[in-house]
Amino acid sequence: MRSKPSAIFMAPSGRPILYVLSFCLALAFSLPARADLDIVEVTSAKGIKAWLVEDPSDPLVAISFAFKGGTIQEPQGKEGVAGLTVGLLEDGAGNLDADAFQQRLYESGADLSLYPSSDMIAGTLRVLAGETEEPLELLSLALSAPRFEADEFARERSRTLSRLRAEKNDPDSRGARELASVLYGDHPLGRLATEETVSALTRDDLAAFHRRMFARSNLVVGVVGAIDPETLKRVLDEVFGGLPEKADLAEIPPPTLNFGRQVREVYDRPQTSTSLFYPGPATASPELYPASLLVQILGGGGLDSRLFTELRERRGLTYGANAALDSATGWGEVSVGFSTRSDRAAEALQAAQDVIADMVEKGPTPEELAAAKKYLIGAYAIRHLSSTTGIAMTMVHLQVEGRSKNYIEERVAKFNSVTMEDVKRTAGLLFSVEPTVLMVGPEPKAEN
Amino acid sequence: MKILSLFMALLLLAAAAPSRLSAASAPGGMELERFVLDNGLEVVVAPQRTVPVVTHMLFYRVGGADEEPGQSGIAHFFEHLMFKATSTRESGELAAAVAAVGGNQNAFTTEDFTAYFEQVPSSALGEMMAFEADRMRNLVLDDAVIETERQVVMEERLSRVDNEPSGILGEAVDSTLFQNHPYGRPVIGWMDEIKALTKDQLTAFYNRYYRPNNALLVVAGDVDTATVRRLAEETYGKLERGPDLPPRIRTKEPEPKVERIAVLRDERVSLPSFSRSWFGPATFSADGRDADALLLLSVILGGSERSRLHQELVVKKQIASSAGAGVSTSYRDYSRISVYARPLDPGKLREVVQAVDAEIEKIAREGVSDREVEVTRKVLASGLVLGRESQMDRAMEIGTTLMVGGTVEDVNGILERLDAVTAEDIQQVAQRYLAKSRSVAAYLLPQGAEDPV
Repeated sequence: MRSKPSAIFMAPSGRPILYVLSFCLALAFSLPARADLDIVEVTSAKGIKAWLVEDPSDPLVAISFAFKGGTIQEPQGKEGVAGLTVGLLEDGAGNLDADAFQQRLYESGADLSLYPSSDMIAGTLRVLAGETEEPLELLSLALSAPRFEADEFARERSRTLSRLRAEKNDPDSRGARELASVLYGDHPLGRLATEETVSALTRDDLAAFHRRMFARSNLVVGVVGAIDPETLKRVLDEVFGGLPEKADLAEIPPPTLNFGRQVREVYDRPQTSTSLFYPGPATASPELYPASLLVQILGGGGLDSRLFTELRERRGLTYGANAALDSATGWGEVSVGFSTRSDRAAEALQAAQDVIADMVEKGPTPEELAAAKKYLIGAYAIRHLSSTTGIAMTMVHLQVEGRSKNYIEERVAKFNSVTMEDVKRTAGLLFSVEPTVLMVGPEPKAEN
Repeated sequence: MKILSLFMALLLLAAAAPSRLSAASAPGGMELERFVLDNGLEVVVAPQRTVPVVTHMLFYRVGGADEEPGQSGIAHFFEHLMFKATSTRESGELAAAVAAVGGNQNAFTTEDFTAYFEQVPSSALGEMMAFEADRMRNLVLDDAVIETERQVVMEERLSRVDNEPSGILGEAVDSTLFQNHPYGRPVIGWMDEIKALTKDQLTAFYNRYYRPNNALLVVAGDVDTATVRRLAEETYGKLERGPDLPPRIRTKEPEPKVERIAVLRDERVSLPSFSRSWFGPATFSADGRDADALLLLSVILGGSERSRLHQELVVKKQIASSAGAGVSTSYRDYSRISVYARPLDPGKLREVVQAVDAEIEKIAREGVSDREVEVTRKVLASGLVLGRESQMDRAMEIGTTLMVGGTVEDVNGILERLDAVTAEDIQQVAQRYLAKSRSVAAYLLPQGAEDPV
């Protein structure tokens, strides 16, 4: 349940949207220092760097890593190659066929997860302290010597095609696809895998993508648990030392988002899901901090945000209403979402836009800003640093974003220095554009 | 404010097989201490000092299966109302207090219990107890609040059930599987009954069930038992013990003799999918050993990509894009077992169903190997340790075990129980519980698809 979305309410129609966006944003905000989070940078003999938090009392070791790149590196016409490549890494490597590889990994009791997102291919190996040898060897093989065998390739491609077909008539999936193409246009973020592109993929495409993406130059690593720096150095060389020196990444400019568009997926069902998309700051932008506070006040994780209060507590229009900031390198976006009884969808949309307009006009109250600061500062430890794996993954994300080891402390000062005027100015900046609006639900009734 | 229905709990389990099972408890003994306040509140403390955070969870022994006829959904509706004003605090004060320390909070309702939790820095534990103790007895139920919240609950039902074909079918499977036992009723309630719940009914519900002698407090995280005891006595300890609770008499589900089939055709579905579900014994019932054997069986049958179903249908025959099994043991009266598969193309549906059934029959006929049992135990044991890193999972597991009839000792006893299961036990439970004639088969089909059987 660790990875489930925030508790208070379900993400509205957010489900399909999230995976087309970069996922580094949730990590980018909120943070108080965990006083005893002692991050050490370790460099192996072969020059591979990792951030380490050593905890000898921990019964496990979590090794998180990411190769910068991800689905936006997929060549035009090869959409879907990242997912298939990653999916096949555990289907045979080195001198082990798929069956032998998987059985050994399974019997080791380790937990390996690998997943591509728009801007990185990330993974985490969780293993019991003292039982690390076999899983590490298997991870090394999977990353540096996958076999991409014909049988496994054919099977996984069929499964991917089947999944694509299965969502073909699902209105939420269709809406999310249409939204991506409208919002991002020709940018790789707007080009999603289709039956056509996946059908055309070959084993050579996977091998080529693997060669480009899995290298030491675009690798970051975060390790937590019962492992000391000297041991980790050896592990780094063993697991990642066999990778080529340099990745071959294409230069991908940030997308130019298209605002003011309407995306409507008509389907006769009881509820309409609505999402609004506005510009947002990039991870490196100083606007990140006021924007994070703004989003928190409007529709952040608690039961007391303006959208939640207006749409749910006051009007009973919806089960959930939220706002989110998604920031990546070079770009970002703010989204607002809710699902509501179809005959009141228009009322809900108007109410949400009124809430936003009011924020642009008047800004936050001093109490709201103070509360949002406290929340974002305090929540970091609970959300990101309260488990072995959480800390490892957080260290990977910080490195992908180019943060320093002291960022967890630095961000506290950055939040504290944000003024009322900053938030109001940021609201004006981000919400001055007409949003792109996605609505999935029945045909709206003609208004009189 | 969410519901863990039978169906969803099962899906969770199926989706995350072995590591999710780990939530079932902690191995090698997590450190647990239990005491009871004078007013009957039971308290369990699970110290874990890796980060200065605690999870505070209050469980009430009332859920959807305790509702009176015609009042389906009242346990969950009431859970929503618990976030409203009390005679001493405004609505939203708790939310603000949690947010101010960067914490998070929520609540959920199951068939057998209702739980409220806050995850906060350890220093805020006493404050959370004060809030939770306050709303146990001082809630103000007013008409306007009830009516607005009724709309929210109705929207929640639309989101969870009526808006999605899988939600509609899942509800039908539950109500088909349990025809006499109240697990057949949706925890969120039938829409007409949600609309009809009255303030009087809600008030009576509150006064009957929200009492210290009907509650369990679990605190996991960076805290010691002495501190928890002191804080609990200063807050919860001030509440008066309530009247004794009525016995929880649950109607029994008769042994099914007929395979039942639920079919939903929907234009949103483009590829068919299939599942088959059974009920089995609860973990802490007289047949609890069978429940443990069913757990191992479900992992061998369909708990991972190394399982029999995945290997046979997805890898060897290549007729399915996915296939697996899961068991949910978080229930007081009956566990639930399901298998599922999705054919690669619509024409293969019948073949997929036959192949799933054949794998179950094969285990019933030939049993499983000692080697499979041994590997599965090891994987489960490892998953248990890995699962312990989440404080929330620990608190959930302790609370769930106690809510469904287990003891504190049972929380740490799962490894021993799994060790006691033999290959013969597994074959026997396959024969006894997984017969087609006891099952509900469910088909989610594209519009216009022909009859599956």
